[in-house]
Amino acid sequence: MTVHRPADLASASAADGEYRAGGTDVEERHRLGISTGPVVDLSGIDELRGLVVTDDGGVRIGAMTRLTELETLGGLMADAVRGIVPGLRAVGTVGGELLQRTRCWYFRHPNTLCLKRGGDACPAREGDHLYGVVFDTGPCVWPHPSSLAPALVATGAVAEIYGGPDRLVEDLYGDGSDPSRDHLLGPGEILVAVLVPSVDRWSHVRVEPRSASASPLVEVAAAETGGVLRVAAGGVAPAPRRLMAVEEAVAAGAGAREAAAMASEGAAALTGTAYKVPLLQAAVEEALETLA
Amino acid sequence: MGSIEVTVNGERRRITPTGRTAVDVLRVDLGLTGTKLSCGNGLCGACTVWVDGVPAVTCVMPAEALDGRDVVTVEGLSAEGLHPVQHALLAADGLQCGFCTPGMVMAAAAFHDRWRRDHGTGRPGRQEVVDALAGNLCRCGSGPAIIAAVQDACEGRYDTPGPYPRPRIDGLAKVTGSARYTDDLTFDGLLEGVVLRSTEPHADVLAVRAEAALALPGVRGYADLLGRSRRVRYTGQPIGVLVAVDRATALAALDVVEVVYAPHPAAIGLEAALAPNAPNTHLRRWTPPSNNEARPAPARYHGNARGPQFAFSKRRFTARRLVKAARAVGDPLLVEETFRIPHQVHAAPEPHVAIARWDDDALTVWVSTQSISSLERKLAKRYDTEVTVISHHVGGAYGAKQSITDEVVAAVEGARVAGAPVRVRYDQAEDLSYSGHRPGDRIDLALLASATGELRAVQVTSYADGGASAGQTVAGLVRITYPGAPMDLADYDVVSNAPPGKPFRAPGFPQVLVALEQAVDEVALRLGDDPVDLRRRWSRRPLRHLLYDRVAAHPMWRDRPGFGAERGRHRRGVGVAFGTWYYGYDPAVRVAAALEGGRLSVSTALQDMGQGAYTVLATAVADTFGVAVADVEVRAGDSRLERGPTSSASRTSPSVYPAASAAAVRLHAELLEAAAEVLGGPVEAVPGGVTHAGEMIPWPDLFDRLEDRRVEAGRPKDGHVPATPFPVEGVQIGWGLSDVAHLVEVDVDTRYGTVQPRRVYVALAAGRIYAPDLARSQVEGGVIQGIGLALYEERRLDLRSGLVLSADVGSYRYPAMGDTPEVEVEFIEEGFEHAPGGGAGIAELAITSAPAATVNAVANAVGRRFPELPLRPDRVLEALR
Ligand SMILES: Cc1cc2nc3c(=O)[nH]c(=O)nc-3n(C[C@H](O)[C@H](O)[C@H](O)COP(=O)(O)OP(=O)(O)OC[C@H]3O[C@@H](n4cnc5c(N)ncnc54)[C@H](O)[C@@H]3O)c2cc1C
Ligand code: SF4
Ligand code: FES
Ligand code: FES
Repeated sequence: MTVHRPADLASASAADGEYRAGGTDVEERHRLGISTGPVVDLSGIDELRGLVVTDDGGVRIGAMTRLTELETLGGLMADAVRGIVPGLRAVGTVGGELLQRTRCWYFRHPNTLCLKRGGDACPAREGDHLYGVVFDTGPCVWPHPSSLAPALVATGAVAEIYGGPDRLVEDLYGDGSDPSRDHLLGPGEILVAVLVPSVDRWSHVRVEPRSASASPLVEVAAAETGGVLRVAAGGVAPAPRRLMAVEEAVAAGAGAREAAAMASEGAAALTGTAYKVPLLQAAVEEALETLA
Repeated sequence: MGSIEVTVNGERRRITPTGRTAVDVLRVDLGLTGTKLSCGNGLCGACTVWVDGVPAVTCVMPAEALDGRDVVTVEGLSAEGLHPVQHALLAADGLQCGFCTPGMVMAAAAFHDRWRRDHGTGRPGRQEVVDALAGNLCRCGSGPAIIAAVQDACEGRYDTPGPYPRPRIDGLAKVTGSARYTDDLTFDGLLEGVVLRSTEPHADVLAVRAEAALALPGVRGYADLLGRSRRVRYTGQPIGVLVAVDRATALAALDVVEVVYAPHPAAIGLEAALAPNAPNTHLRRWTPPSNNEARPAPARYHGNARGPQFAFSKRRFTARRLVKAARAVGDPLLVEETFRIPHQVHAAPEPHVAIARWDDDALTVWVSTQSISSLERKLAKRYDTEVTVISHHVGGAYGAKQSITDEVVAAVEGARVAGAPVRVRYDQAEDLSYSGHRPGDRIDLALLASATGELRAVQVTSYADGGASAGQTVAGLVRITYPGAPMDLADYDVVSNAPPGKPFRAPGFPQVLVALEQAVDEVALRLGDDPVDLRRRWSRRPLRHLLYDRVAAHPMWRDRPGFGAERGRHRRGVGVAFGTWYYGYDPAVRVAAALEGGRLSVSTALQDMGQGAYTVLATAVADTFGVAVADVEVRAGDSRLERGPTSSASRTSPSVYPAASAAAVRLHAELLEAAAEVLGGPVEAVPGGVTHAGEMIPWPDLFDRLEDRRVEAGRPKDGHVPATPFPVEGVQIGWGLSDVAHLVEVDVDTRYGTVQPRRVYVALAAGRIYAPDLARSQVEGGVIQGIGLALYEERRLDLRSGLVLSADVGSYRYPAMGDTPEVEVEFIEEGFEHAPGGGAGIAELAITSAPAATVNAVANAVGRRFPELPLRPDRVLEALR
């Protein structure tokens, strides 16, 4: 493996290869042989570090912040990553967590081809997609793996990008219609930090088939800021999904259960994932009930 | 890129990362093999070290990330005496195979230190410990003891250097990381072999073109593994082995090997193989490799179903007739159901790994195996040469590491063509895909009771789904469980183009009991009977009745909720099930006991995969002399020693303890005589030494004055004629059956359909227990693996390509720390007085009815039975609808 270690953003942006932050995802893919080529190690770049509370009570989290460090913040950020096992949290970074590649078992298998690996079909769609999406919004049927993204989307966080425009975290991912990508950052674009506004009330729910699962079945984050509630879900769509219909129902005065029922609006489950629909609704209901 | 500087265990070291991971640098460059490499993808925690004081996984950490940082490994932690957590793990026997232990120690020690700083000596809750150890998997199932040990250490119970109890003789080596497993060995000039695997589920291999690969720099040879039959029967079947100077070179070369196949139609998995017009998955008269202890019995094929074996049936046609008649009239006491059991993968933390070296004509194999002696004999026969097999510590096996496994053949053949020692080490995907599994099963069951609660008839047909393997007896085991009624029991092996199974702890029993014990509960429900009382009527065996009494009196059972009676979001459920296992032993084992250089020793070619075999061996000698277990040196793990047993079929302790005792008794007698001579007068034996002239002289004081000597013994004969006339594959089935009761309490979250195991009571009647602390660990392990089968574990197979999808421990979900219940173990040490030593084995017994009891507990909570395992949230929610 060829490793570049640029010292600043400009040379990182110009370097050739996949970025590597904590490396937990990149190293695994290289070990499996499903990713090859040079890597550009971001660990020597000071601009990507730092965890600062901003004047308005929000927080700016550098992309190279380790997931363990989020524990010091407490609140939604800490809760969102608690399901990732501690030894990985100590290595993985916020940037890598948000921009990691899918955990689809076809994609991660050393001997398969799929839409994300140069193939021309998705073997999971006709095959075994037990942990797949319920919002079938694109050719790829595996949910986006990030646990932090739904939480950031719920807070309305902004991603600071080097080499491209800043944007809402929500807009880092698109609608999942392009199966080749797990996020929309292009070559030379580097996530520098996320700006997380302060929130008044929040909640987080993770549903796992077994404790310490690599990928939860469903995750829901809810956050309220200045009377505006945002709800987002992971585990259900090719991109972290904002649940607007739920938000609207709450705004219109619906109770938790009634609003939660709206979580499945737009859902089109696969044969093997229909069970996730009630799980999503239940998780949203709990998230609304426990908003504190 | 260049080198970096890192502080490791207090020393500044300069390392050259060259694009590798931190674990490779620690293990290979720095020789710190206490840190283990298991899953390689960040989830199991075996590779945990402290980086700047924080436990971190190193298998997915780039080595460059160590630049300027401070690393402490288990070796460093242990350098100045043991950490309290290490003392506690040793005292509570919170380990078995020990492969997860160093990582566990590092995570737990960090938690301990943090806890003590913040809370003094307050006892942490279970959940706090579980959260800290969430990323440390223990496949042996030592979770209950680990959690308790960490809690104890946090309370300050192990703050001084001790001494504290150390029931496990090789425990210290395991908690300090000094135990060297096969995977930790290296030697100069060691080459790496990687297996070329079939990409076709069913084909003839017409040609393998390896020339281009062989021409690459660093590639040292290619050896064929298919042999005369050129047929491959599953995707992933080994075709050959490619040997190179290192793994990366070998893998790169593998990419340019060209294989020419003539594909045959394939049937992947049970349903496809049983479908009408399914293609033939086998050759005529082909006997598939075994997924059980013995070779599959001769049988005919009906399509792809091999069988039936119905030897265990009893008044077969009566049973059929009774069931048919009951069905015709809609008898409410006829319980009929089709059950589906998933494939359970062994997933041992130490991967399958073997190193082979040829010297002239002699072959030495270092291998992670549970069958040193028999492997030596089999290899010697196969290669017609002198063979040595070495395996000092084994990182888990559970049945998959016996006999001549593929990685052994690959290493031996690879070493032969390369003319140098070769290692073949499976990566995680290979290990979880191709190294074996408990076959899946479809069980058609009909059970008929009378209105008075008598068992009238049982009809069970099992279709074992062992892929390209056979030999699983499932239905037949009903006969051993409830022998009274007429029964029609048929066992088929459905041969399909999927990876073959291997024996997995208690082959057949967990599967059949999930069906049978649910059906019994259902009958009890329909009759309005107590499930334990009903079972009393179906078995006459005294040991079983002791267990029925124990369960009936247990508060967990007495306070159980009614079937489906709980309300609210969280529902408690309590379930019971009973299991049985044979009493088996290897009559041909030999054990030597010796006095050497003033120390007692005991030796045999035995392996310890965590079951505590080395400790049992030492205990036999220690018991005889009345000295401490630690005073006995154990020599094992090497086929050049006396012939040892294979560690499967629960035969280890019942084989070696009596033989070791016999040797020890003779040695003791000889040493008494020698003592009399040295002391110049009569001596009398007392525990721990002798008395001479009114004075007690401890053995250790005498040993230095006595000459070395060595005696060898076999296993004394049983006091009862054995159940089988002669041993098969080294197992003689003795007289008598051992029994177990599993009582399980779960919490079902009806909102999400998730199940949390809370408490387990397990009682075993297997005669005398030789090393109780270790036996308890093994039992807890069986319980947790059983819970895994019931609730979480299932191999997932892509039915089109035949690829195993659950190829990492993130997607092959076996119980983690958070799924660990509290376990209460009770031994009823009766029933095997006829056995020399008085004990039968417990390894398999411990798992047999654990899944069934777990399923019954969930059924009790939600008021529905579960024909299909595992009880995933989707299935539980479905049942609740
Ligand atoms: C067993 C297991 C269980 C897991 N469970 C969970 C889970 O429950 N929830 C969850 O969210 N995650 C989970 N993960 C994933 C884990 O959180 C990620 O691997 C980790 O957070 C990635 O961080 P990293 O810094 O190591 O990323 P890296 O491996 O360094 O990078 C990941 C990707 O992000 C890109 N990248 C990283 N930083 C930047 C940047 N600043 N700008 C542009 N691109 C960048 C890289 O190019 C790469 O493609 C799990 C992983 C494993 C192995
Ligand atoms: S679901 Fe997505 S990642 Fe998985 S195989 Fe299909 S395209 Fe590939
Ligand atoms: S080997 Fe690193 S976490 Fe499993
Ligand atoms: S002791 Fe934990 S895996 Fe064996």
